[in-house]
Amino acid sequence: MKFLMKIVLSLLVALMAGFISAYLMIEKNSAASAVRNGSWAINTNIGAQDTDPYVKAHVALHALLALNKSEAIYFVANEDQEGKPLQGGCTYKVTGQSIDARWWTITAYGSDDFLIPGGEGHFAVSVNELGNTKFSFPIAPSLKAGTTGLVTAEAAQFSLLLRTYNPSPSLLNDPASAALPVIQKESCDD
Amino acid sequence: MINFLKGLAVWSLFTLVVAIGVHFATVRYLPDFVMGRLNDKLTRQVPVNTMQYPARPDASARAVVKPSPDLLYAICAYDVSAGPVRVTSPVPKSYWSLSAFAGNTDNFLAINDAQAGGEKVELILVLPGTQLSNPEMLPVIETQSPIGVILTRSLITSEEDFPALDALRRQATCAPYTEEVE
Repeated sequence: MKFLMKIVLSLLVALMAGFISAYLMIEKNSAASAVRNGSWAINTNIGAQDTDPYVKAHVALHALLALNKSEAIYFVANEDQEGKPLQGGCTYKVTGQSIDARWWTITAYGSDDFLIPGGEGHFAVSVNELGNTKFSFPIAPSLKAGTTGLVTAEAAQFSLLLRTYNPSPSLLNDPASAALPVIQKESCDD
Repeated sequence: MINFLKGLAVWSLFTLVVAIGVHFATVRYLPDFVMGRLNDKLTRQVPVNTMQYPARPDASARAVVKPSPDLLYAICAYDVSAGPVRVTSPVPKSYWSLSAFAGNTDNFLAINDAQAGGEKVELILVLPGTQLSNPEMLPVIETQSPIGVILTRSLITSEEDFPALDALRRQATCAPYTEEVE
């Protein structure tokens, strides 16, 4: 009986340790293997058959059905220009210039990786609205209808995903040097 | 005391070995588990090898993480274990892509509108080594795994174009192919 209890206890501890360490490594390894560019991180091995198993597991959790780099590359920002987490109660100004890809868009997601409730009409901004020139748009808890920008009121924290479809060779080969949008915090709700 | 320490060391080693096994098994099989769940979700109300046309993504879209509100999707959970599957889709004039994902999330096929070279894409998904008569000479794509997902993405260029784009993506199909040679 005592032996059986020891086995059960040992297996429980092993299962917990195995799952928790796997989860932590999936999150950490993916961040470590990403290329950084300001607030943005990119992993060009997404969707590839020979990629690191930790990256593959990360894709399954956070980027399921993402395209491989032959078609698109994805930049993720979880923090502003100063390295602070993006918060739904704050207002940010995003400035940048056209990105060297056939088509691109920036979308805000809650910490659950889904579109943020309350953001209808302001889930994403793309080259369609911003044009192929220098641009600036707000991210705020609320925006007037018709304003180009992103609304994040109902998210405690959020992330931005910059999708670039058919990126130029220079963007694809050297994403760390690309001129990507700058995310600057302006104010926060009390 | 020595026996106690010996026992503790043995149990600790046992626990560590099992924990390492659980760690690597979790990392290795998580993608297959997540794709399996997606396939289950997609085939709960419609048969496998059937194209589905989800609504334009908004905050209520919860089937797949990080949906794009700029895109209209058509999605099919395929299963080629019982035979080849034929996939067809019209190609709109704006950005469009058709992609295929294996049961472990690998994106083993991606074709966009510029590469499609026409107004329609047709292809056949098969298990590696499958012989086909293929009288129509359609492109044959060997899947990496028996089950997976086909996804088309159509860019919504404007609200005015939305109805026409929606009607076009609803012409995409995914169905068993029946021209296999004995």
